[in-house]
Amino acid sequence: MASAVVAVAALGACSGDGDSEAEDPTTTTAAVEGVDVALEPGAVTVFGVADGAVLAESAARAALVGAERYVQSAMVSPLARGDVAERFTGLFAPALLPLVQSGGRDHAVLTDAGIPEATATPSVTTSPVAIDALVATDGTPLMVVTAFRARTNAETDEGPVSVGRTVELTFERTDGDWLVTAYKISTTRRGIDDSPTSTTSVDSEVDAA
Amino acid sequence: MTTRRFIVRVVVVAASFVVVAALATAGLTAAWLAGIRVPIASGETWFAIEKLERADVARDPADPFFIALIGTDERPGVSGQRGDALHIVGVNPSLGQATIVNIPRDMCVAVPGAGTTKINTAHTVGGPGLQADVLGSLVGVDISYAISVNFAGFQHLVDGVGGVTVDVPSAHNDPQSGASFQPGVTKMNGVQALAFSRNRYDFPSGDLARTDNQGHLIWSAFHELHETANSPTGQMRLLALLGRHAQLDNVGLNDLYHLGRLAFRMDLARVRNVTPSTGGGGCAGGLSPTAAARSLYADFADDGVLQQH
Repeated sequence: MASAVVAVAALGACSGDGDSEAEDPTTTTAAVEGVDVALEPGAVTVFGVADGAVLAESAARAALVGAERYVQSAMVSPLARGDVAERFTGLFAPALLPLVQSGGRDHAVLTDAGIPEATATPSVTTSPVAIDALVATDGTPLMVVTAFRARTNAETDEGPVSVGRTVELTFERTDGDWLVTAYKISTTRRGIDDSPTSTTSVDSEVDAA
Repeated sequence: MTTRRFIVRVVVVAASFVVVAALATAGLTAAWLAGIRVPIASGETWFAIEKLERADVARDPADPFFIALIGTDERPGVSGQRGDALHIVGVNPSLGQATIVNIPRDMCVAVPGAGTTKINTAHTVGGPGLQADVLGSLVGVDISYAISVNFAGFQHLVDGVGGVTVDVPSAHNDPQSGASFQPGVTKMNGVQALAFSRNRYDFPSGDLARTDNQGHLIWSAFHELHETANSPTGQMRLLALLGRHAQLDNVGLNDLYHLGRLAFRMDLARVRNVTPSTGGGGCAGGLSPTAAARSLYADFADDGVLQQH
């Protein structure tokens, strides 16, 4: 099976052989309103229907940028400005929007809507983003899965809050854009509503059956 | 077979969860028109997966759906391709449960074009699509996917996923199938898994026990895949395997990915393997479902889950 694992500091066309896991150090990004979160790419693993599979840089980058948009909208904006930046249209596939937008089944797990606004600049700590991809025989990227961890810490009028997430976002090309068609997210919150720790998870995708 | 299905045969596969299968293909252009996103698979074809026309009917994503798993007896020296291992998997996404219902190949049913005869004749007459339709009619469900595999493909598939671990319920010692196992947990390669699935001479209930063992192996494979492929890397690796060795009809790797995710969300403790009871009659040398079996079919058909059995 054509597979490639490449740890990259900067994304390029990704190919190679092997199954090793890349190192997984954390990086810290200061997050302030108006400054986008910058995620670092980690291991890029490419599987091909044919030998010699190569993941186009544009596909990998689109997935990475999508992951950044998610963290910025769902985790940073609530702390920085008190609400979720509803930039989910154009990030999630239309079929998933009813689940992820305000009032949707998964909204409370996917986002930090409703947590107290930060009184000082919050911080975001993220792991490098592992990228797994499947490439068709003709080189067309079929799907790109990003997996990473993210944590925000902030001081609020109600005390310190900390939110950690384990995130898997699956991107597929939909009507010309790379959109999230599936996600698996686990959220752990501390210091909110007097509950020491709470963890919730969601696992959803567009219907294929 | 419709013109679309005829033309569309491309390649891909999805051996997720119960997964094993594939379809035939024949036209890149038509495939793209039909929405299939994987142009061509490479490598030897091990199995086929077909999305049946009934699956295109609008449904709620939470609704249950049904998959036919078909093992044929096609092998060197044997023609006809009868459906000799027959299973229906019901998947209930909202309950997170799945049920494998095993159907003996000697069950007597009405097969279009062949009259009342053994159910495995349907594959000879009309391939996986007709086999799935006849299975669905017997149990009272609309089957969305048919996954079919022959002897060689089954062996390759098991080897391709690294073997399957089965808790063998009783001793096997059958020279005809080559099955030789002691009770207990056994890691099987493709040859061993095929022998385990074919053995019927070690059991008083013959084909019924064999059918139940096949379901047990599917159940075991599902549990194993749950362990080995329940990560993005594992899933991409599995999809690439499918893409290389499955023949896909009216379904793409992307679709199989999402189906596989559904499968991985199933509660393993609530995935059941059942073989309904049978009686004699119906056709020469054949079997028929008992009243208890018909009751089980009805229980299964409404939501893919057994509440009363």
